[in-house]
Amino acid sequence: MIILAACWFAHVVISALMSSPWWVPNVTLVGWVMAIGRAPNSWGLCSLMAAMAALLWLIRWTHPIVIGYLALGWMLSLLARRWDLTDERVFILIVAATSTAATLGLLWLEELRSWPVLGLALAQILVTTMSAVVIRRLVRWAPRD
Amino acid sequence: MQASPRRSLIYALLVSAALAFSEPLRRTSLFILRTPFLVTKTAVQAVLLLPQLPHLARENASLKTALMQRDVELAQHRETIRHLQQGKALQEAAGTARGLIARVIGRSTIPTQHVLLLDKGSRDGLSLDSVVVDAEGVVGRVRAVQAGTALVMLVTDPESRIAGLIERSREAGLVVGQGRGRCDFIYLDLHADLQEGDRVMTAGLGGAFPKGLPIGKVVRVLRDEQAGVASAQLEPAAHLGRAEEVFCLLSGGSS
Repeated sequence: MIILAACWFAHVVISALMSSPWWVPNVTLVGWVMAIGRAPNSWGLCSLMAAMAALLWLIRWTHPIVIGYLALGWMLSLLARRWDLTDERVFILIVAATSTAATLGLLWLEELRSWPVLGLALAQILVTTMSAVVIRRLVRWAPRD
Repeated sequence: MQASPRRSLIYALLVSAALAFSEPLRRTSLFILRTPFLVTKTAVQAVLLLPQLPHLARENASLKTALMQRDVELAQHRETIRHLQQGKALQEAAGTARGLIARVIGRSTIPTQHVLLLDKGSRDGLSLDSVVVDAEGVVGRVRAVQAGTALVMLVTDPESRIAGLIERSREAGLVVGQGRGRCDFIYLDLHADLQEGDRVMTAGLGGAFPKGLPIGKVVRVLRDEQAGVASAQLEPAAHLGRAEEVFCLLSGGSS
């Protein structure tokens, strides 16, 4: 939970510094995946925390996005029980997949269909995955929840 | 052989005349004569100053600290002046409209919903659909308001819709956000008079946005002959990515 809260705080700070939200890595998502990977049984609470963090900025589609967070969180808990999410390669793969699902889901919800937006979405998925590598190395020294 | 007194007198007069009438020679000779006195005086001063060195060092450190403090205060005053000038620029941009200045304290972490978080809310007079501008143009409108904060939907948000018209040719259309830092100006006639560089202003239709506020500049014109319509891509006039302070018009109401 501490990791998720710290990642959310870092996400807010980075968003305030960058002019375009597409180039901001979704650090909250990385912390969310990490939190569920370490404690799969608390997927509900982690997903709710991540959804609450997003709720601060939502002006539409509130319920679908919250439901989406819970659904993704449940799937992550199933994966965490089958695979070891603390393994670096598995973790990065799961972050990339979750980020892709979340970002493309947002595009579908908002009915944004253009090549430039798709390119920006892919850029965001890429920077999120790269940030997962950095955060994974940083958290190695943090105590478990 | 000793020189005669007359010869010595003549030599002395010649040297005196040279010193009196030759400026460089006089300066050089005076410098040479004064140097020993200067050296002696400096040495005496140095000896007298030795006991005062510790006190001088402390005073120097104290003056350096005071100077640094003044530098910090000066930087803060400069920031205050910039803030006041920005506020003046915002108020001038809004004309005679009643409003208040708000600070941007956060940006959306959701890339498909372009919003800013302001430090003013309903207790300051903000309401839904209050128009927000900066010194350059329209920023957006308030979409959610609490007691002390408000969420502003930017003009680049996919749900943003503003009636606009070209400043030069008065062609009217609709400005819609594209979710990627740009807007589109749509519902134009195929042969509408518009070109790159044209400024798009608010048309004042719908009641939310007052007429005449800059929205953006045309960067690309697209004409679809099959559909019989034209459209344009706009670059927003406001500094959406660098907004720190904005002006909120208090005359906005729900649409």
